[in-house]
Amino acid sequence: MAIFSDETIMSYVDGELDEATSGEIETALASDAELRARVDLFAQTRLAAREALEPMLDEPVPQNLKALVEAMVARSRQSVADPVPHSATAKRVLVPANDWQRLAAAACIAGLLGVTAGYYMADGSMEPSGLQIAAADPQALFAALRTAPSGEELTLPGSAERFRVIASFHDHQQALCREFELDMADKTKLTSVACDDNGQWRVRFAVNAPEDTASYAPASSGEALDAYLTAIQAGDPLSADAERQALEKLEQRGE
Amino acid sequence: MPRSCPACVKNNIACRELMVDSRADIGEQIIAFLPNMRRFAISLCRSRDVADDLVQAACERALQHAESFIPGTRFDAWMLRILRNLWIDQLRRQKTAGPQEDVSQRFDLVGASGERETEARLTLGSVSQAISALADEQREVLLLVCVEGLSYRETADVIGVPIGTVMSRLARARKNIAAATGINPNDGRLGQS
Repeated sequence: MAIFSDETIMSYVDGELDEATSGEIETALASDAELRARVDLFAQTRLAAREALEPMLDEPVPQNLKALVEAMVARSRQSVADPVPHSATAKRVLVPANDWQRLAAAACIAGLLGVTAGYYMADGSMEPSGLQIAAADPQALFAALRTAPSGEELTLPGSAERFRVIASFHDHQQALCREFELDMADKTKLTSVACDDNGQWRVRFAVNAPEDTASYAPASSGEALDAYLTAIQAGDPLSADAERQALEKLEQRGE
Repeated sequence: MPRSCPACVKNNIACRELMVDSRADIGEQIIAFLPNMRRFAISLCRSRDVADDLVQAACERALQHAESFIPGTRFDAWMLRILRNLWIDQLRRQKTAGPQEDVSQRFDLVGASGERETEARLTLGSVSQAISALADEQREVLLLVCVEGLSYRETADVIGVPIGTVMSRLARARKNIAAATGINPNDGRLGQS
């Protein structure tokens, strides 16, 4: 007859014993009254200890302790909600100087597409002093910004880039702005805001992030966008009708 | 070509976001776990007042080091380890300051609530007295495994001893309780190991 140590029997009772040895114990149990008693001891003591100390969980936590801990938790949440901006990441914001840079400091700008100087002119040509999104055909992008309603997805002519306007709104100077996304050929997603500047579309904000939504970058580029929209005091998204009227007005003025 | 976010920056962001999650989460878990913390602390200190101070200190420490909690691991084991480490620190300090604890103040764990009139309650009371009478090192493993439901491995991590030590202490603790409370009285071989 196999001799089992106390530790082995206890492990069996506690569900920590390997299958092979558990099998041996179970086989032996059928014919070994002494083994049954030893198993019983460990099973009963476990149960008894648990039951004996169970009532302590029903004891109310003293009010002052509870209040102290809750206050601690609240303070800790506050300190996490207001993190110190990370100076190294602040340098990654490569958009025209604006005070929103400060707000977006904590966000990771995953790499602005070659943002170079240039406006999108009404005729699709570029003026060298404005902003350009290097990967997009300016003319096609401009046409799309001028006409596409929010929520609609289209493929920019002459490229594989999928374009969609997320929303239109007015900034604090009542300029019409459009937030849009471009799915780039390299599987990244560009999130951008372009605003009307006296008949010209000017890219005010652009952030490029991996399209993989499971990674952290999209969330932080969203943070940067939120910070930017807050900084320019972006109004509520226009309704479909209001958006159409605003685009028509822009079109008439441009003509 | 788009430039990708340098790994260091990405990690930084990832860490911060994880921290936000884990801290918010840990705050809630800490509050929900207070009764269990008190139970373990009372069994360690054997004084409700000392235990409550210990619990408070442990909560503070846990919130300060929320990032050291590894998501997916057991929160209770992590929290109880913090609590126990603080207690061990206090004991060390007390030792260097000379004995202060009045041993006569050690009392049975369920406390003098006076609510245990029935026969069944009296039996349970004797179990809690037996637990209280255990050596500290046996009592804590009994608490962690049999009462809090930690595995041997988790208990070994909380206490910082090999798993074999946990098992031998736990087996002795249970045999002592059985002997003190008359569990399994008909087995003449109980004393063997």
